[in-house]
Amino acid sequence: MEKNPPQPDAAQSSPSSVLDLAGVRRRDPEALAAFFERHFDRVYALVFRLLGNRHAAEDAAQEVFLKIHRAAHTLDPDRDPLPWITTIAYNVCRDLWRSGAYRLSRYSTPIDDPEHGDTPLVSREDDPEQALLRSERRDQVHRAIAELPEALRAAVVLREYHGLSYEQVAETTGTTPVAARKRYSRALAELAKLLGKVTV
Amino acid sequence: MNDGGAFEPGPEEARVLESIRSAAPPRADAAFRNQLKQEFVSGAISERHAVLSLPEPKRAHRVRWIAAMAAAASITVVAMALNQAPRWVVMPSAGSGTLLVNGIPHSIEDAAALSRHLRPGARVLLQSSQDLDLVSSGLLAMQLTPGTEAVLPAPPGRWFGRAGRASVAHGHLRLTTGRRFDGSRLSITTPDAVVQITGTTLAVIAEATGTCVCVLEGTAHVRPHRGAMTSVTPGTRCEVARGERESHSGEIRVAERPKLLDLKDRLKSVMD
Repeated sequence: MEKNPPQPDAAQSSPSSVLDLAGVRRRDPEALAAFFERHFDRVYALVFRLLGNRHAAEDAAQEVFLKIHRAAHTLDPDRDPLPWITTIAYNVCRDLWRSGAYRLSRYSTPIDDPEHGDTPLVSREDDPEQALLRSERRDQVHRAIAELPEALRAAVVLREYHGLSYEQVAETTGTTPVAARKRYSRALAELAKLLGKVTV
Repeated sequence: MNDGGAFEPGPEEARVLESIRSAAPPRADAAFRNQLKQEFVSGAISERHAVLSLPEPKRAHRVRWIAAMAAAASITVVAMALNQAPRWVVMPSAGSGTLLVNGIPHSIEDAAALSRHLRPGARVLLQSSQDLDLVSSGLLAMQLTPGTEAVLPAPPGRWFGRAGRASVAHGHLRLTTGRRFDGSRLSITTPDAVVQITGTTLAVIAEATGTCVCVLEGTAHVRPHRGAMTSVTPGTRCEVARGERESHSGEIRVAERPKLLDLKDRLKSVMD
């Protein structure tokens, strides 16, 4: 196992077991509201990172919750719905990729659009110069991830930001754990090259 | 859980990982989030059409490709079928005996049955008391004399593949071309030479001492296997002795002229 296993985004890692999944199956409004609150940020972050811009991410997030709502009656209340949701979100993004590059090109908002909503991890006490450097570095990472081929991008996003194991990445993306690990490894190597071209 | 094996990041990759892990998650616009939540909870989201009708363009694209490929394949198959020249048909013979087709004997008395066994490229040997006539409607007519061993040519195609090949190991092969042969080429190989024809009536005689080509009409080109090409004009002959590089020309053989005339008159009408 890795020495430093990835951690999912802190705000998104709370367990789903306390949710009233039976209520979600019945499409009970209260259960749906709790379900949405629990999972929206995670879904949005995933599609945003896979697609690379806010407008595409909003469309994809709507599509994901539409699919969840329509398929709610198939939800197994005894199982964690997170893999199911992640797979739906990944498939929506994959369909978007497959639908043609023109769709992505229509969304011309760059990844570093100030409106994209990223909150820098900078405390108020930080040195402003350090804060600027960190912010710049973060934007470069986002741009570099957006430049990766889709399969590599999915591997690194699912593993690093969403804390999936190689097996879960493989299950979500329809490949083998070994291939998922290779993609992840190649993604890191590509990112190192891309980020090596810029000096912060 | 099997995690696909350990991965040890190098220093550069470790730096990348640190950068990735230090990035905060993207946050959605609050108004968008609230509106989507409201639609999700109320069920309004399910009542409208899909936000992104994504797979359809791909499917339509794929269907168009499949349809185009199927159409192209159909056109190719139809074109190849239509391009095929008429098959060889054996004309009724007064003689008796057999025609060995790829080593299998077939009686020449049942012309229809024999025709079914003839394929382009088949090696035939005539063991009969009489000549045997073969016709490919509109294109070629051939006459084999008893004892002739030859490889039947594929008659040239209608639009493409308009070159055919035949060979004569020994014996007499008389040949006349039809109207639809125009623009096609046939090359006949003997042990001593290659004969090229583009529209003619001629005899190719492969003997133990060499090859003789007698031309009644049109022009043939004869090239000894290791020599230069010679044109053979109407009413003349060209002889290539076994092992020789040179060819010798002269008058058409006296015995061949009436036989070629007969072939032309008799089989041209059948062909056309």
